[in-house]
Amino acid sequence: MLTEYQPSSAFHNAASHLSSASSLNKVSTSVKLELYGLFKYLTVAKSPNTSRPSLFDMTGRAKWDAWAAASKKHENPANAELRYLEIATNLGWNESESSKDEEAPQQAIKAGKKDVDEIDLDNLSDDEDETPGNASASGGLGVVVSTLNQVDGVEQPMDHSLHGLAVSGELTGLKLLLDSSKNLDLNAPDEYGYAPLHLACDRGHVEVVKLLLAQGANKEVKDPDGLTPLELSQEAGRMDIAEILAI
Amino acid sequence: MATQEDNTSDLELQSVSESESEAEEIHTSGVTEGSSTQQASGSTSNKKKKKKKKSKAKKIFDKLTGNEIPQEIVDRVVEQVKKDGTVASEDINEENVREALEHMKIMDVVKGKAGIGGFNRKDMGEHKFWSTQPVPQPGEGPPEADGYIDPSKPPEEVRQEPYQLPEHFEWSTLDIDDPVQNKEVYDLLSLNYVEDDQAAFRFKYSGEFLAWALKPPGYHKEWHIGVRVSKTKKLVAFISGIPMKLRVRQNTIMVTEINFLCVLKKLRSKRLAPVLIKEVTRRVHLKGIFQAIYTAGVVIPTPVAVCRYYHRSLNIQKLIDTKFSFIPRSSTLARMIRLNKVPENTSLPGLRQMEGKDVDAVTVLFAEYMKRFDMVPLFNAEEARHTFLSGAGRGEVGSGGTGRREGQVTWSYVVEDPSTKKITDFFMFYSLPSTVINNLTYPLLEAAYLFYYATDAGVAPADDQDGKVKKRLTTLIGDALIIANNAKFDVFNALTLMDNAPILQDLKFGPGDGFLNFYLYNWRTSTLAGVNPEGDRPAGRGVGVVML
Repeated sequence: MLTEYQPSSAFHNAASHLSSASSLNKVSTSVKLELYGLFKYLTVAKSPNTSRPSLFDMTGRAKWDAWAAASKKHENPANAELRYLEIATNLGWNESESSKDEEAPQQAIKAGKKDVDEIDLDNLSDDEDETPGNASASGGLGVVVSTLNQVDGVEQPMDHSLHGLAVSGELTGLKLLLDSSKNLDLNAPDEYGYAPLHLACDRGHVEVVKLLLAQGANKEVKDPDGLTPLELSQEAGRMDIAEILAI
Repeated sequence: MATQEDNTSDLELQSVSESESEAEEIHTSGVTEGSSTQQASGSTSNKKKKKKKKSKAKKIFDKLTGNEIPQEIVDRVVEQVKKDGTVASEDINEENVREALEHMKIMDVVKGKAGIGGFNRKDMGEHKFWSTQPVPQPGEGPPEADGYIDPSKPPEEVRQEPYQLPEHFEWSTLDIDDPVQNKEVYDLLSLNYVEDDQAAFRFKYSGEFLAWALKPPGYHKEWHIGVRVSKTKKLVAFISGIPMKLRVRQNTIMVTEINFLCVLKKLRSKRLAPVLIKEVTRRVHLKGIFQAIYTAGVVIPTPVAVCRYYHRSLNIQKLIDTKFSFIPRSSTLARMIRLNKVPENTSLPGLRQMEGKDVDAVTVLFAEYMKRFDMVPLFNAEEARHTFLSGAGRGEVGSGGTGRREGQVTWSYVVEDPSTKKITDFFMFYSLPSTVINNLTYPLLEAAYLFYYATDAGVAPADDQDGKVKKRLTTLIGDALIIANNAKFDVFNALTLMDNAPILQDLKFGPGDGFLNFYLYNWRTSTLAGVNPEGDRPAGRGVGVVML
């Protein structure tokens, strides 16, 4: 049973860092939800013991789902913790540094919440990180910064299959998978016709490429466009990987 | 341990709900997916009983004050949920859908305070303000005839003294010609102006851009309005207007084009924006102008058109690395690079940079071509010269980097027929980079934006004129892409306005997540065709104004 699992001090440190990190304001809801799910998994129970909130309690439902998803994704709580720390690191948490600035983030929070009348008009800076959360409300009029619509509209859920890990470049996850499932076909094409080595080469994950090669992945396998991993990495401009494959 | 848990879960709650826009996305995706509504009908049944007791008087009152969910929305949702078939039909009825919608504060969506489907999801929070302004109000319906809302006032009836600012702030008129003041506006905008929803990119208008955009012939310095902190004189807010002659369907009106409204991030809570808008309106009134055109990503009362951004990727690798774009799971970076490759050389014979000697010909061609659209600027030769040529930069091509002149903002080209020497086509794009926030490898995203163009294929009446225009424009704008690529732009952007919509797909533009709403101040006209057709007007053809 999971409740016995004791997260490491690094986890607590990261959680406390995130509880005051301004970087959280910039991450997407899906990342926040993943953090939430992992946190509940690691500190409360493997999965939620309440019934799923109604469709119309959107926030509650999203959080419940995130918690359930965390437990589904990570059989072993140690992996869940690793994932939590990985996200925290991406958001600027640093285990060695954070212990000494425990005070600073608290102050930042206070500063951020300061009543408007207390704004120091004599020393207005343009520091963009100090008023998180309303970055887009510049007043409203004007043109718009648009970016390309993602195919699915939302971030892809984490895919922990062999191909999914080759895409995301998660070396640790891939090692775990390779250790635990000895009979994986390293050259199997996915539903679009790509072998894991194609995907790792294309997405530029050097270490994953090395690992796949070390495990005997086929260097000559062709992708749907007829490209070998070497050709693919060259076309994608991944010269570091092309060098490895050319050996 | 317990406190730790409490703290963090509070935090997560906060961070999930704090950002209204993101929470809204969750809300709306829930409605459209309509997955598993069974639990919903269960959990709302308690409240239903309570609400049933709502008195008749209250219902009538709600209807009058707009608190009631409109019947058509309820019907629409009932229909949609039934169609999805995930819930047994008998579980879905008007009552529980209405209940649920009320629960979700759908009125906020209806009133434009929140967005639907990730669409215009920012809350400007100024609806009280807009209800006092001469703009079409929600629920008005299309006007019977085009025209003003408030009549023009004689100058002596216009308020003479500036509007009151909050304590410690003062008005300031900005001189864009003065390098110091130009730099102040540049600094304010580049750190505080429009960002995308993820706060990953923020517009970075150059000083040269501001000079080009804010000083057309006949501009008024008094319409370049700043707010400063009285004590330190730091510039903390800005708004601008420029004069423009605008044809809206069959009427020609003098308007001001309002743009660059920006308030220092730290002072967003001071509600300076409405005061800035009122002050620029007052100063515009003093010059005898009573109409305005402006755009916004948000929905406020009431858009006259909405257009969508489209993006043509040029530097795929950089667009992926900066998360402007994504590699679909079914594809590869290598394939995307190959498919988006742009030829090195332009294809149209007679294509060359526009010069001063072309101004008259281009002015005429442009005026004729723009008759295809419902809302267009009318440029005389002097205005055309400014708009089409004054942003061309200094020195030779290459002095401002590959394919660019120093300080170059605009790229204007004409096609001169090699045999007749007539100017047959014209196009133009401008450079508007964005800061890539917190990216050390790529601090700047170089974006080109399609601006005005014209082709004689759209002028002389002909069979299948639209087909001929599409064919010609595909080649013309295709060459624009080549020029932009050679000038090292990362992406080429266009809106679904003018004749853009039909050529976007062939030229490999992809839809963006940004929508732009167009507004007219003190002028009523029915909706213009933008992202969607309106009546028999094809998509885009309502809008012939490109805003900077």
